[in-house]
Amino acid sequence: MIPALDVRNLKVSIRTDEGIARVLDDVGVTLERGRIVGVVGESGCGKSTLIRAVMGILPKGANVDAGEIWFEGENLLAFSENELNERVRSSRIGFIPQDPLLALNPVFKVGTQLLEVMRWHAAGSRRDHVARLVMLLKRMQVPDPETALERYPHQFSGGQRQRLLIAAALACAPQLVIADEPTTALDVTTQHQILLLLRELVAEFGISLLFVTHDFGVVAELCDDLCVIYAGQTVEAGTVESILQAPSHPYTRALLACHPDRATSFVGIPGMVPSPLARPAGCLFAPRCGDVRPVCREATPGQGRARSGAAVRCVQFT
Amino acid sequence: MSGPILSVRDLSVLLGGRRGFLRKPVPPVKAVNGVSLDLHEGEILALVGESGSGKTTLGRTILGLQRENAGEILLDGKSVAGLSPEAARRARNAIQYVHQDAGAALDPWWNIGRTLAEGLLIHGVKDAAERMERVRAMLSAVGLDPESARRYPHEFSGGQLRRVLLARILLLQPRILILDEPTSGLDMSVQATVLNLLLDLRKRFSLTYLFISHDLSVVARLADRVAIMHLGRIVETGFAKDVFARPAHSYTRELLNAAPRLSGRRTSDGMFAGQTAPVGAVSRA
Repeated sequence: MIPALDVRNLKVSIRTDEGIARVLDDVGVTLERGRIVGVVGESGCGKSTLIRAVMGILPKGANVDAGEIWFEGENLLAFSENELNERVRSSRIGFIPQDPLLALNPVFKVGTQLLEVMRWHAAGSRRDHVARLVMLLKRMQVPDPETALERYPHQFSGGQRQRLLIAAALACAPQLVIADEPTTALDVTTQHQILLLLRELVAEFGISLLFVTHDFGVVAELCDDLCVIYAGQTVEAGTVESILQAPSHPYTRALLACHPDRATSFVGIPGMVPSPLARPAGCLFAPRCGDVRPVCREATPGQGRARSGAAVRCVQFT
Repeated sequence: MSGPILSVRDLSVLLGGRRGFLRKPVPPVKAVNGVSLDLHEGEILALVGESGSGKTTLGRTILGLQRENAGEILLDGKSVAGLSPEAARRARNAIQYVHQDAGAALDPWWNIGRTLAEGLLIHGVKDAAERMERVRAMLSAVGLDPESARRYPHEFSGGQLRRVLLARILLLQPRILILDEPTSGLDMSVQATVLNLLLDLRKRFSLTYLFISHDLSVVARLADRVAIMHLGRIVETGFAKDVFARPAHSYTRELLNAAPRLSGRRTSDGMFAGQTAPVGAVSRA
């Protein structure tokens, strides 16, 4: 079966005043249809750039140097801006942003904003669109779905706004939905409800979900597969179950050891994510790694396979 | 152990509301509703609840920024309630507050050294050289380079900014710190180092923490005791390990069930049925 999304060896660099920043350096993510993949890493690891590359909204000065982005069997990198607008964005790939307040315009009614998207990207008449939105809002458990479209964003609570945006992402019946830390701004209880809702929606609407987060607890709760990114590289990828049970890459192990559920002491990971402007030679994690060997500082490790079945970028597994 | 260092009895705070003169009167909200709690010397008490539960208002009232409408606040057994905000801050100098949003709490136009020295100046350290000396010593105490006194807030990462805030507050030699969501918005790895620092500072400066948070994983690891807050009331208090192992109040159980855990997926039971007010409070402390 063709995967819903298959990002292969993606390399993205951005021209800045201080030089060329290599933001993504060999990232790969595979999302099988009907599954949920979690993309995890610290800030500055390239999670947001990955999302932007898939949707074709990289910032100015950014360049895709190598790699492929396969979406339902088509290479998105070969699409023109117009083709992306007409055939991909919103209509086939939905997006759930991190901050629901920033994503909604405060001076327009919610209905105006959501119907605008559907006017451009969904088939059918305005009446069909309203009917579908009301159905979706009802499904999202937004109170008074019939009148919700006539209200303004500030009249909704944070959790309700996030529900509105999930409805917006699903409005045009996409095949793939990308969510960028959609629950970080929410309370644990609201987060729990949203995660449960997302899980149900994946099965119900036949979508595939790419979920970016830095919280392993959320991954454990929601995702089927996991992709750990460090400094613009995929360092470990496999099923959530296998990786949480037996994390292989030293970075995955260190990240998990920081989680309060597992931490024996609060030590954190020493050092910082290397700047995309000045990347160390050899393995990018070597300067912070607890199991570093001399060879790590010389050669870039290739992809190997751990006993858990996960693909791991570390000399210990090649 | 002697008596509690800080004691709060039946504290109530009303927020908002409007008198009706030509306009419709709006009744005030009971943000804090009859809260009682004790803070013992050297302990970490976590105040846990959803947004809107009144945790921050309670913190601000204990600090003296918000005036209480009813109730008693005892610091070292002496009453410090019922004072005007200025008098309250003077009387409660031993209590200091660490802001949630480190970036917003610092002036972007002032370098860190000047921001930190400002607090000392207000508290009567007249000698500029002594101020700078103490600022540099405190910066290294929180794990920052003393030279960073010359740098500006935008040059620091999120985790470093938390350290700067802690340094600023510790310069005032507090005994009680109110920490408002000290780890929210931080990466897991940075969060761990900040928590480690908090534990270390508590030992070195003999501090007592009132730790406001909704991250239950962190609270479970860090706190000695927890107080669960819901709709302005404390619904359950007790030793952290007891409350987490055997939550007595239904709201606590719902809250614990909602927290994402590494052990993975749970079924959809424990969904929040509605925002009903708690019936009885449970206390085991």
